[in-house]
This record gives sequence, structure tokens and C-alpha cells, in this order.
Amino acid sequence: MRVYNQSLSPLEAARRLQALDDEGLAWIEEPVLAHEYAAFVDLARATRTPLQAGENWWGPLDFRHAFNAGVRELVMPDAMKCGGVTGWLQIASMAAVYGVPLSSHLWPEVSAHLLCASPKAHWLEYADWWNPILNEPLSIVNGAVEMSDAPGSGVEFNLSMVEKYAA
Amino acid sequence: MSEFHAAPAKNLKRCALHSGHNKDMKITAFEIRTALVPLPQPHRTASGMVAASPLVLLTVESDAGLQPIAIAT
Repeated sequence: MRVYNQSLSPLEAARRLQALDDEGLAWIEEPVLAHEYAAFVDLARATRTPLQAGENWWGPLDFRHAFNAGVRELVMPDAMKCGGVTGWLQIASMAAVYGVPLSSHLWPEVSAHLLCASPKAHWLEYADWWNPILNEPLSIVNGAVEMSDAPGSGVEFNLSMVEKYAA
Repeated sequence: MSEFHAAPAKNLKRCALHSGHNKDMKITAFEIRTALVPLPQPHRTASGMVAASPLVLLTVESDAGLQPIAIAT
């Protein structure tokens, strides 16, 4: 996987993606600005490596606009930006209709549950960034999440640690 | 840590609970916490090192007994 975080111009992206095409990458993420849908479509046509997008799309409407514009290789909604559980489920339904594999962006504690309810679930992006303020960080065994039986998202904040890192 | 008390939101006055019963529910308070959480392992990117994650936690209290916490970066 390779991530560009929206940093390239369409012209530069085309040059680099062509150079990377034989590297066997699983995906190339956000080579251009997240809302440059036409550029995504052009780049996807010009490369064999799948393009990943969606972590900076806000809510189901952004996903609808992207899908309608033809950006349909891989998507990875962010549970916070996409509208929480309700937004995610609407996006997961759209991804299923269009046959687009759906991964997650950050928030693995919540996204693991959401991916279980997503017909086209692909990869869970794991980050341990918030472990210091969680009572029970996500359990990872052999590269996979061990889901807990805790109700809801299962997330319980350690408020004394939140206090410790208060800003 | 800051604490704010909110007036009942009109659009939340009537809330259908999952039990099927309608009940007047009032937001009685909310609390905002901000934190800068150091990453267990600093995250290196082409544009620099990310060593901490800024967070906002919003706790909503209601007279229905629920106390959800929302998180945002």
C-alpha cells in the first residue's frame, strides 16, 4: 500500500502511478485531492494498481457524488467524517450496490463493528493512537481483531487518562 | 476541563425510545473535554512526524439516564 495524502497534482500522480504499476501494491491511496473525482477516474483507467479513496469524503452525499462520477475501485470511509453509524450503513449499502470493496479509516474500535455489518468489507485500518485513553484497547491476534462482547461500540474511555492529557 | 449546562433542545423534546414508548427526554448537561494524546509510536509521514493526537470528547447527559460520549479529532 502507498499513501499520498492528496499531495500530488493529477499530472504528477499519473507519472508516479505509472512508475509504481509493477510493484504489486495492494492499493494507492488518495494520490490527488479527495474531491478531484474526474482525476481519480482518469488515473484509475491509466493504472492497474487499484486506487483507494474516501477517508476525506464527508457523509453519504460525498460518496454518492464520487460513485456517480465513476470513482468505484476501493473506498475507506472514516467513521467520524462519514456520519457515524447511520452514515456508514448508508455508504456500505451504496458500496454493495456498486460492488466496491469497503475498508475503514482510523477509529478501529468502532470501525471493526461497522465492517462486520458491511457486505463488501475489505480491510480494517488499525491505529493504536487512542489506546492510552481506553479502558480496553482493541485486541489484535495474528493480524485480526478479536471482537469483544461489550455492548454498543465497546469503547470505554479512561477519563483519568483523558484528564492527564487534557489540553 | 470545561463544563457547560445546556437548555433543553426543542428538537429533542420528544424522543422515540427503542422500547417503543414515547417519552419526554431532556438534555440536562453536556461536557466538553479536550486532550492531546501522545501516540504509542510516533507516526512518520513525508510531511513530518506526528507525535500526538488532538481529541475532543463530548459527553451528553439526559434525564433518560443515557450518557453517551462522542469523540472527534
